[in-house]
Amino acid sequence: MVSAAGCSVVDRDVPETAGKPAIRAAEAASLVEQYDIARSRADASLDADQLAELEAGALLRIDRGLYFQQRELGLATTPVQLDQTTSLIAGSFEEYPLWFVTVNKLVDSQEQVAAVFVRRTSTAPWLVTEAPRLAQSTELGRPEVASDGSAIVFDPVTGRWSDGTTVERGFAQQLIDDYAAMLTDPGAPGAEQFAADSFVEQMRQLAQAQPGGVDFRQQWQADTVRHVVRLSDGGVLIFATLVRTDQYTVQPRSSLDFAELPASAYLPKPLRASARLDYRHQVLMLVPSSGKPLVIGQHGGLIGAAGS
Amino acid sequence: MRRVLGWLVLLFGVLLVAGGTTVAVFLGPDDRASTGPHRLTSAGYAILTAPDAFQYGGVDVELDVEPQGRGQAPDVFLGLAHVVDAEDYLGGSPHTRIDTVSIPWDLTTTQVEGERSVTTAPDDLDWWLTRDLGDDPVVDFPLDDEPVTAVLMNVDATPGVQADLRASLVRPGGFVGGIAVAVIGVGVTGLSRTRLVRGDSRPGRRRTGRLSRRGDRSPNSHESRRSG
Repeated sequence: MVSAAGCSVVDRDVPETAGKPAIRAAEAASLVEQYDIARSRADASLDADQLAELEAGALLRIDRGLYFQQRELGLATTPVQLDQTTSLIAGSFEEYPLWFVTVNKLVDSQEQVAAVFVRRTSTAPWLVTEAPRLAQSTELGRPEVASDGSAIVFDPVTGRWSDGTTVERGFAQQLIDDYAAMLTDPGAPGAEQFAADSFVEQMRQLAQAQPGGVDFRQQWQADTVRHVVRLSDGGVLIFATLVRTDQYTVQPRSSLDFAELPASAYLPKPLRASARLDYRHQVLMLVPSSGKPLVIGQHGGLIGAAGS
Repeated sequence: MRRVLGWLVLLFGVLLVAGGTTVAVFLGPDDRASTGPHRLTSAGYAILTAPDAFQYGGVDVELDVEPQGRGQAPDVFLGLAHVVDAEDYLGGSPHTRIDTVSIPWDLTTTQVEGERSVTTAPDDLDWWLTRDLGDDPVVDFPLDDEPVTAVLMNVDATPGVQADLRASLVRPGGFVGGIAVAVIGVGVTGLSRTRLVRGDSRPGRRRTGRLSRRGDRSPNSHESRRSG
């Protein structure tokens, strides 16, 4: 109790460290709606500048690449339209950046998208930085929540969950690094810890379906992991970006032609020497409480190419 | 034992009278205790309160500022923010932090040094919990346990903030409540006093005491009479 001019009033108990919820449900719904409208407008005109006001990081590079390919190749565009939000995962943060995840069905699609909205500073806008697509039947699982209703999220810098518990700081990064190594080389150390998911199968098929007369090499690396969510059953969701590089060396008296492929937007003529194609893939990895980790969603594409 | 209890009840009643009267006098019929205007000045970008500057809880605070300065004073912005937002927005920039506020009026402040410029106008930001701007902005907010900070800035986020502040603690129904508590206190005091006085002079009690004393002595008296 303290005294205010002789009047006893209740003493405030302000916590020294108190997180701020990343966003309220109503605000998130409003943001998703704004994103949806602006994204449809950008998709209709294939305007990369408009896109840059909505997205950032690898996602912007993927979608900007898609715009470029559609424009160069005269491909039909299908605007990304979000349907109702089925899940909101928002943690509580003691400092910026803030981030949250919404899961939305996609209109006229059998997919849903898990979009990570990030606000880097208090004066920056909310931008979508990751958006892996999931099959409509895929369920993310229920995030574990604190007493204030905020999701328990991981800070890879401190190695601390938002409820104060700690784990090995690099556990999520190590998993994604191992996953990338396994994509490069199925026999890499740590490859056996992962389940054979559809993303790996798809990438293996692509790597094997290469034309004759070229030497092909594919390499994968993991970008820095920033967004990790703990599930109520003890599982973990990891959002990650993978850097994929396809390297072609054309054998003598052969040529390499990407006609009718997205890469032809960058390399329209047959090549005689070599080519390098740069991709980004954003994946959502589920680390179940029991069982092997697997990728349950992805969104990726070609972001650039060079060759001669 | 009954006597001690009676005195305790009397003390409780007196406390109720004193507390209720003080609250009623402190708040007045408009349910508010006001102070000011007080001049606030900062060479930095903002004047803001530390999260625990207001130590009183369970009341509402109303802040009313009027920009001051030489010539035509710029309009000011007054807002309430979560400390996470305010620290990110103003951290690293020079500003004045109000560490404690005591009513009627006592401030302790810290001049926070910094190199960073604030380039975004406060009204362009969407995370204010409440805000107002102009030549007489007013904000009010409840003092709960949320770590919030009140921020005063020039609307164009230029350094050099000067304004007169009037602060009020508002407790809706506090005046009537204080009077009610005081009245209850009077009742409790009166009742306990009456019981104490009556308890001291109740004939039955005295008679019991005399009877008891008589009872102690009566066998002896009886014996003496018999023996006499």
